[in-house]
Amino acid sequence: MKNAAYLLIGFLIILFSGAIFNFMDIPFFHAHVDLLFLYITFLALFVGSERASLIGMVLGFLMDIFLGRYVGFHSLILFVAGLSYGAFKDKIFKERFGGAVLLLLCGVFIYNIFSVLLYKTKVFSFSVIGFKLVLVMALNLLVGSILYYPLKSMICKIEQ
Amino acid sequence: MNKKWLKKKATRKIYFFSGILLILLIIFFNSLEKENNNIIFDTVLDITAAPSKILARGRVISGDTAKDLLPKNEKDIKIQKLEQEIEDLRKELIKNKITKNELNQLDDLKRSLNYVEEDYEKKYIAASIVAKNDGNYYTSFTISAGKKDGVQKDGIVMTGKGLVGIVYEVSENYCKAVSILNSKASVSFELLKNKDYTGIASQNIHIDDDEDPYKYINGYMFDINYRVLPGDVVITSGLGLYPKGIPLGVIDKVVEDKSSLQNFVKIKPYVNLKRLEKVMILNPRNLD
Repeated sequence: MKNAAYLLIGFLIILFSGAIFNFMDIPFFHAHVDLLFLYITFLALFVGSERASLIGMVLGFLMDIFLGRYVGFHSLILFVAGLSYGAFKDKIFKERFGGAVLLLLCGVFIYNIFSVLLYKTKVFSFSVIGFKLVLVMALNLLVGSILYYPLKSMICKIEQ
Repeated sequence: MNKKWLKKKATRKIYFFSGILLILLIIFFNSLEKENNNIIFDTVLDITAAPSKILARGRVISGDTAKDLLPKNEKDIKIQKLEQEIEDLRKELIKNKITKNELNQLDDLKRSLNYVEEDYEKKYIAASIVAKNDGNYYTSFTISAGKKDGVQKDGIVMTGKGLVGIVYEVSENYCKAVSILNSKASVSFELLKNKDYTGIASQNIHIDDDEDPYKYINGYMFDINYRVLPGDVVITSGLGLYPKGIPLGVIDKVVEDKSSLQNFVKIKPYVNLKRLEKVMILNPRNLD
């Protein structure tokens, strides 16, 4: 039942991202946050590797089929993120968002590097991609810090 | 006994998750090589996109209502009117140029070569954008028209302003398209001012500069002696899969490469990918 609730929330994130948030012209040099990655990262820190990785895999598949170019990319990334971040479940101080957001940034960096390598359709200069990467990470830092406590309390409520 | 059981359980878990990881890797690498069209993926796409269609409609309605409620600035209304006028005039110009320049030539050619008429009818399929990916490194769309509506793979997605992208996956009720800025497909083009000035636009072409590669379509002209200038209007030339006369954009920059004797061009697309709602899909020609 709890897992179903997490899946439903993830599904809603995919729907709202695809249909509404990604159309918003945010004045942040056209960078967007991957809310699903953020959700799985925080979920893994609270529910552990096993559940987070499987939930991440299912939601990743939905994301791949609904919006992705290659099936398996998001499911692979979210599965690995859930699995590895779940290992930090009892090892970071969860009352403050610092540790969680730092882990999120590391994940976002790796995720973005893979995205660039996979989706590059042009030979690009590193300065352009580097600038974009910094923007995406800064935006994730901001949104992750804002969403940490609401997500934490929501996950805690579902776990009770 | 308990310790042994726990160890066995942990080993089983490792096998289980390693197995899943392996399966995911196989699916992913398979997807890189082959098309994703199968009945399971198509069904999931149809199911997932249905609620998204409702949300997208809500987004459009609320956007329109907000526009109506906001006090309208006279300048904005004028700009909007002028933009519409420019778009209409551009369409008219493209239509007239193509008709005038080529009608006589085509008639002559038809007569002299005993030409067999091409059985291609420009059938536009109107649809709306249901969802869009984050667009950080590439932009793709889910569109509310599929096999049922006659959409085919490699069809082109366009708006009244010009080319938007190319369809890469089609399910029963929906299809997915990748933006022209991220598509690896090549599009042959010509300049509106002179139909003999032709070239190829493709995102595989590399132009050495530090500008954002996701803003422009790259291309090169077939002859270095063509007089290409920034501001020249670029349209599809009709060679290959796509029909003639679809606006691509305007030349923003011309880069001459004397070592390879080529003129590279950066084309600024007419379409703003951030503000897409309604699109038209045009199936590719059958070249067989």
